[in-house]
Amino acid sequence: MKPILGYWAVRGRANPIRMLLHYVGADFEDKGYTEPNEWFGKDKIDLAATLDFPNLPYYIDDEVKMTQSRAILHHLGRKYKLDGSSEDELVRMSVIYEQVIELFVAMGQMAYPPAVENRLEIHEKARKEYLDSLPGKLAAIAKFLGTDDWMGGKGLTYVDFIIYDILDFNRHLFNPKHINAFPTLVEYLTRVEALKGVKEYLASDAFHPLPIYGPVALIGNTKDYKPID
Amino acid sequence: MYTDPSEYYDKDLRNLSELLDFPNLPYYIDDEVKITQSKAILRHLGRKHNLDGSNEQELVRMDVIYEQVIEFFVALLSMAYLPDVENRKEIHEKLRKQFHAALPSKLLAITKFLGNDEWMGGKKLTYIDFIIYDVLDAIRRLFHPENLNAFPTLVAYVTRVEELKGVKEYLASDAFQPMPIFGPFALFGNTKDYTPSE
Repeated sequence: MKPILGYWAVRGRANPIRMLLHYVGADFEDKGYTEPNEWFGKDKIDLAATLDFPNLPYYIDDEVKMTQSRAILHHLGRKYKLDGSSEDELVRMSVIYEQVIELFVAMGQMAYPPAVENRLEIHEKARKEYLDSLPGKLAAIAKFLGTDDWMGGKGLTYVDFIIYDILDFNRHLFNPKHINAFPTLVEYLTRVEALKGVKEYLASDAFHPLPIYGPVALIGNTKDYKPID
Repeated sequence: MYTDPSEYYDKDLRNLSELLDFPNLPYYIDDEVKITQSKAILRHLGRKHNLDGSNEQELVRMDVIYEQVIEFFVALLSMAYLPDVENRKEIHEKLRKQFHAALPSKLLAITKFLGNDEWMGGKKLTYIDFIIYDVLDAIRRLFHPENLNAFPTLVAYVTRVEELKGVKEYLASDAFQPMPIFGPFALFGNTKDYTPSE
């Protein structure tokens, strides 16, 4: 069967998976849900018997029927030989993944603060804290990469697609200057974008840098979202 | 184990900044590695001590259950450490009640996932079981134990982990303190004798 990746028609958590699948030239169905009811009212119910934890994204092929974007990526990394092969590499991949995921979690919380009256105040506080700490965090990531091409230290691995996406989020949710202050990180992002398969995908209609989050998010929720700081 | 913040921030951090790429707690240093990030540490130790999955099915199961259960932990952390706004207690109450209301269906899904297996990966004990244990145990201390007790297979699982040789002795020793789970400034689970309200 043709593998199927199901997710909302936004960037969200699916882009690293999409990038990897295009890089390896997999022939898959990129099913993007535009109507909540298409998922909640129909497919989520239909897939309840197939998926242990019905959710988006899901990935179904002849081998697996699974959810959780990181688990999907890790599986595809092993399947397509884009996983680390030495302990050093595997350790590096784990460490940088956990560090950069913290940025993803922080941005997500900023985008979707608790549904209370002063949610904007909470958002502003979180945003200020995030941007104040960003230079230090990016400096540490740049230092970690050093002069290597890829985060694992040797070859390209599935972790590079996640790191790419989260760092690129920062160029669209905030002023690109934060990332641009680190030329080695910019080179790294460009290196990922230039990968055969990835390059074509990013230039196609199948990829939109925005929106990153859904319509009710406070940031990055429209195609032409403009960062303010 | 650091009890005093200045022990870390004023004393060790300077030396550790030379050794660690991303100085933080926890850190783990041995002859092979000098690393931070608890999950990275656990994965490394899992591989080192033959506590990793041994086939694709196990590896997939481990990743999926980890991601599901870590969502709990992220939610608990978020409600423990809210931004410093006037109504943070009110927000905390709201989030905690929401979490508690969703708990039964989430625990049911985990129970179904475990099924008749002894361990989350399937047949083999893996490092993931230590993480899942810890989050489930945190839930029965931050909320009434009856929330978890409603799922006997999960209670059996948690007990199974606690009976492991080595683990049993550690949990019975002074080196292990079930509470506090969070630091002193957290909005719950922040004292030795914290009592859950729901």
